[in-house]
Amino acid sequence: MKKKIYFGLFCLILCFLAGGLYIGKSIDKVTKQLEKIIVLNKVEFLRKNMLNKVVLVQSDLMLKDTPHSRKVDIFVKHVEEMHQAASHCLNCHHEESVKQRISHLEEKINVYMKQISRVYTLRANEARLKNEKDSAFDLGQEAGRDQQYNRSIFL
Amino acid sequence: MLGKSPKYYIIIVALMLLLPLINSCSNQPEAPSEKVAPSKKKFYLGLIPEQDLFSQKERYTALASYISEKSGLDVELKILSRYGNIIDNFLSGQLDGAFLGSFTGALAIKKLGVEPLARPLWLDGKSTYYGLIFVRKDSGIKNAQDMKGKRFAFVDKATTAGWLLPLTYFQENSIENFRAWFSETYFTGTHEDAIYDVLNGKADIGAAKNTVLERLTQNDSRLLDELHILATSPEVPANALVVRRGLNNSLKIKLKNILLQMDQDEQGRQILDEFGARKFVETTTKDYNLVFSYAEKIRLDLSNYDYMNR
Repeated sequence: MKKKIYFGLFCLILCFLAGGLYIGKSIDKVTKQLEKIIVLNKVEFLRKNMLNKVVLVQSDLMLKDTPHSRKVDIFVKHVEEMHQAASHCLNCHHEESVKQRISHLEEKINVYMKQISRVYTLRANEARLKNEKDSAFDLGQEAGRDQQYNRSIFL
Repeated sequence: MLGKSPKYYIIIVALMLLLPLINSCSNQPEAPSEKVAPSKKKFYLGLIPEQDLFSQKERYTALASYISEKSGLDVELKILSRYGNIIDNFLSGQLDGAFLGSFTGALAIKKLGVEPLARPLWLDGKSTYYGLIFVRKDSGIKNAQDMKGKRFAFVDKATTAGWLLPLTYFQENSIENFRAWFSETYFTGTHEDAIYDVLNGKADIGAAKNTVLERLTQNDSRLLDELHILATSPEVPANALVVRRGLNNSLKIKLKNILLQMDQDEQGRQILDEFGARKFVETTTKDYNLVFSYAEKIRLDLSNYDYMNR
């Protein structure tokens, strides 16, 4: 009888241990998955934030020389925020291929910034102004497209 | 347990009733008393676009923070998209001071009575700059005659290097109506763009200041290899800090002293180094005499000068 009781107890402990291990492992797996989802969400948030800033600057650009154009101070603030958002992306990733893509995007943003500054300072004939404005807009769209493409790599 | 006296149970129940009080009596963190920092007085400092708007603002950010820290003012940078806007901003009272180029400085002195305080002494020991007229080496343009029918990139009508120098050059070379002489003329708005427009073939001839060209050359050797300088202007004072007429005298002295003594402390030296200067030197209206006479030479009346780029 005593042996049966010990055996029963042993089986019970074994069951508890196996159950404990299973629960521990499951929690660990779920936590890791959740962490990954949080990181992906963060990346997606940064990407969307960056994209919104680009859209905002593009709208400033399109509104220039219209009755609804924004003040230079506000435009400069928007561009600075966009640049900050682009720099922020570079802080998070360490994988070389991803880092390279983001550096490339940042370079594009810098070129875009130079071009939009030029649109604001240039005084020339209509054809030249239109050409510069179109070129700046295209660079902005390209930066936005790059961000969309980067999404497919990250997610 | 059952054998215990009723007193025992009463004490237990009483203690249990007191339990919730333990939490409520615990020290509650006091709401942090809001320490409102005394608001600093705003000082609006204008910048002209020598290079693109954002790089120019970034270049002066550390300097503005340093002035804020030392003066107790809240210095806010205001970058303007056109040189002439700085005059309008002073007129509408939106600026307390500005870093102005020699021509804008001279214009602001004549039109608004602003007071120059200090300007940087560059690492080469100079506190001046000069204007350049340049072409691509492979353009085949060697003199004013070769320029006929080409495209000219000015900087702005309120610049020495990007407007006064070309006008003087045209006068010296008997080009009476430059708009008819060239197939196209336009204003890039920044020295950097005038330089790159010529380099990239967007314009055939350009005018800009030497300090910006030298700064850009540090990161782009193509500029030295591919550009040829045709003419230079006399040396004029580097971009100086000017303050509006009527600004408190003690504040003027304070600002001037902060800049003049910058090279005497470690933080100041570091900022100067990043700025590309050795120190700041005192600047007065007299330093602009050369610009006044340069403008007179081509019969420009600075007091009634129309600085709008048309």
